Amino acid sequence: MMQTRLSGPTIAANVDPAERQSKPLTTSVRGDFPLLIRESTTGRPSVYLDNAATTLKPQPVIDAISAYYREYTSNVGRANHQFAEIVNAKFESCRENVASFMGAKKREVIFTSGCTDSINLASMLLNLERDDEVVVSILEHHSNYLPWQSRARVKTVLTDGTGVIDLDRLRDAITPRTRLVALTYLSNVTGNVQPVREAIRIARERGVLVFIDAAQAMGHFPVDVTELGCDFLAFSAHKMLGPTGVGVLYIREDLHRHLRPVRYGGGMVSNIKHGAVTYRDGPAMFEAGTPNIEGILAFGAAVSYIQRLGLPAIAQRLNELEQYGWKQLSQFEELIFPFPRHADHAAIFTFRPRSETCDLSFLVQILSDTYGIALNQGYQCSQPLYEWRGVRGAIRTSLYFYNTFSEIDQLVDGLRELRPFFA
Amino acid sequence: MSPSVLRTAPRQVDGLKWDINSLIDGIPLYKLLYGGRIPTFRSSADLASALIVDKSYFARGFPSNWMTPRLHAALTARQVEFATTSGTTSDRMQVIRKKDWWQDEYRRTYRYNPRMVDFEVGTDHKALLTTAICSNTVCYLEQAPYDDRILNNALYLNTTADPNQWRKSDLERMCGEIARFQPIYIDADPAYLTLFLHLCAVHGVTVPYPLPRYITLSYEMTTQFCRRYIQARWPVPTYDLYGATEIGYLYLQADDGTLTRSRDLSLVELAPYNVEHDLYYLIVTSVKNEYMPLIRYRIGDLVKVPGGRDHIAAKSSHDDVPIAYFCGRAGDVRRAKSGRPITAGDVDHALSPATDQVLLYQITVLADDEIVFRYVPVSDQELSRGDRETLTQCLVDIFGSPCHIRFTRERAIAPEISGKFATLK
Repeated sequence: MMQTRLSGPTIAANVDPAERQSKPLTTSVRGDFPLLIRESTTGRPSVYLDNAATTLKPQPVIDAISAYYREYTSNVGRANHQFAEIVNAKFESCRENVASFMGAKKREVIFTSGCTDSINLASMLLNLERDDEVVVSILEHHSNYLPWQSRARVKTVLTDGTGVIDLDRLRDAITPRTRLVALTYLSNVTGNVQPVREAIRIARERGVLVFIDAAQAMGHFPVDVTELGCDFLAFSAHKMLGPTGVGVLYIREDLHRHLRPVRYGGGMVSNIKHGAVTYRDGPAMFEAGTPNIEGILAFGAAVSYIQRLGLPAIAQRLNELEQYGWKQLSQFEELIFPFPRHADHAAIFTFRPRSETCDLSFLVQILSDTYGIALNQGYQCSQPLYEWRGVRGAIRTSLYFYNTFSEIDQLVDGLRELRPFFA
Repeated sequence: MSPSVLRTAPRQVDGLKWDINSLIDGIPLYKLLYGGRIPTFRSSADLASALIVDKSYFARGFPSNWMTPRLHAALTARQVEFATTSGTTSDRMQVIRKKDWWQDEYRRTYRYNPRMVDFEVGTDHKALLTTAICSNTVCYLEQAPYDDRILNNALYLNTTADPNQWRKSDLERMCGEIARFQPIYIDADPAYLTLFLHLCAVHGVTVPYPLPRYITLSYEMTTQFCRRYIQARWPVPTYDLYGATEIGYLYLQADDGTLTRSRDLSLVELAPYNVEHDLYYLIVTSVKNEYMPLIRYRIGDLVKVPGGRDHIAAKSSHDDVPIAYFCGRAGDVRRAKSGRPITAGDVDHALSPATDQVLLYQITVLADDEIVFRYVPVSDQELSRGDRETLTQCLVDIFGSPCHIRFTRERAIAPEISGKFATLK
């Protein structure tokens, strides 16, 4: 049964993806990515299929960073000289833009140094105690496991046979001691989109806060925090065309008044008089010190870029790539896909040879050095999941909208030629 | 990238012991290289008609460029193992070879040293102190237990990415493991062994006794400072061992310090780099790896051959040509004001008599006649004024005048990404 994605179209499985390929979108964007058009050292086109780790950056994002250095370097929110005025305006415009992008209010968007930082910040803000329980799924990235595990008791909910969190088990896992349910929206290993809306509903019925790790989801299909109804949501800029070192923590506005700052520094106080501190409200209370200004400006450029293309179009393109990728990769009898592929599945394929002795690292090196294909191998920072399934690492292929069918073919050709290594 | 067309006649007249043509028969890479017309190699002199090829060419198109029915069968039968060499060049090269290939290579090589010839490969114990191995199949980084780090009776000691980070507990563990394992010999990266001995002294960790019977220094160029330090602390025979993942070993030092060619299944040529300054490229033809025979492979390293012009012309085989020392990568060569090439080996040999107070060093040549000499001292002291003046004079002699030398004492010099230490940048 097809899971209902929050929004964004899904393509029926019986439609030939070749007929549905969004050629105009792909053709129009590839020239924007310098890494896609540079000459390859392998004699073959470079193919970047490690997008779940980080995406490539389009020229407008690169330009935004250099413009900050070349044209208007200034701190933000600290001065009113000419450059500062430009930077202040651009910076807050980025926040506005990001808020609009995710269906949030501007004051609900807190800039951090990345998704991991956002989760850590949230875990500090919640002031958890050792006996408090945080419910997570087995699919979580270490970033959405360790910060909770270091402060509270973590209860892990397994997935069902279709590869998504078992909602009955989730319901059972919530107790009076549960302070938070923290779930990934889209597994960076399995590619399965999780039924977060249902999970949020279950948690809220029990009066439990919900944190969503949207690192893989954001920029891939529309995500609206208001519609979702989550309390916290985090993601990174660099997994959606932006620079590294920038992330977002969304905190539902009515929670702000219950939270105290946990990081201290410049830019967060209204005044200090006789030792009494009055903190600014809104995001400033949580953003101590000078932020990654150029990174955030570039992130704004990334969001604008995605908005210009349109998330529905991106989601459609990713669906086409998912269907084609599965069709092509699943034909290898020598490969196993250790995690179930849910009906609502992103363009992330994780596989390994049936042979336990195959050196994945070597295989991925050859695919890189000879075939020009960038892939990921190992545990993708999700060791509990691998341990549960008894799998010793795997190769991950993750696509973004600028990838093409022919790039998938290039991977398939490479794997075909390398069959003697893993057959 | 097309292979170099440099052709150097080695003036060798002896017949080849191996049938190169049959070894490379069917290998697509050589068919591509010669457009289907592979020369006939009956003698080493015939090799002069072969193209000299750099690593980047051999590395391309792996594995298709090497695929023969024989290799395919070996792969299918799981009779091969894999390795990747990053070397010190930007090109990395995948290597496929028969299983336990290094065991055979050790046997081939140790025969060339009277002391090592008795070492029973796979039976006798040896310990390795190098960069910590970490691949998908084996990872000795961090918490790898003692038993897991013993392969074919070789103990891999290091579990830390950067030897500068060794703590007292790491040193005690390694010393304890050496005492427990009792290796007959230790094969070490010279900089790692130097740091190990130095940090043991700093932390008051007693190095195990009895000492190994001998040491081989490989993996990177041995600086004279390191060699001297090691020999002063561990007074056992110490031999340089020169080789690479893709070719095995080529030279092994003898007791008198001379470098002996380990000739099995390989042939060395010395191609001019700068004859005036006795600098030559090492070119090797190696058929040690039956699946990837390398014909006239320019490794990228330079060697110093005093009087090379006459030596090389007079010799029938370059295997016999005495090499004074290894000079490091051709790509790392700097130029003196006179235009003279300056290699890492030349600098090292010029500096080493100046002082015995340097443990590790790194020279960075900046613009505007400025050279930075970063060093980790043997003692906890800065170099004396006298040492600095002597070193300054050496560096001015090498690089030319005017030349401003800035000395900076360091607690540590970081290794490069490969784990090796650069002395000339």
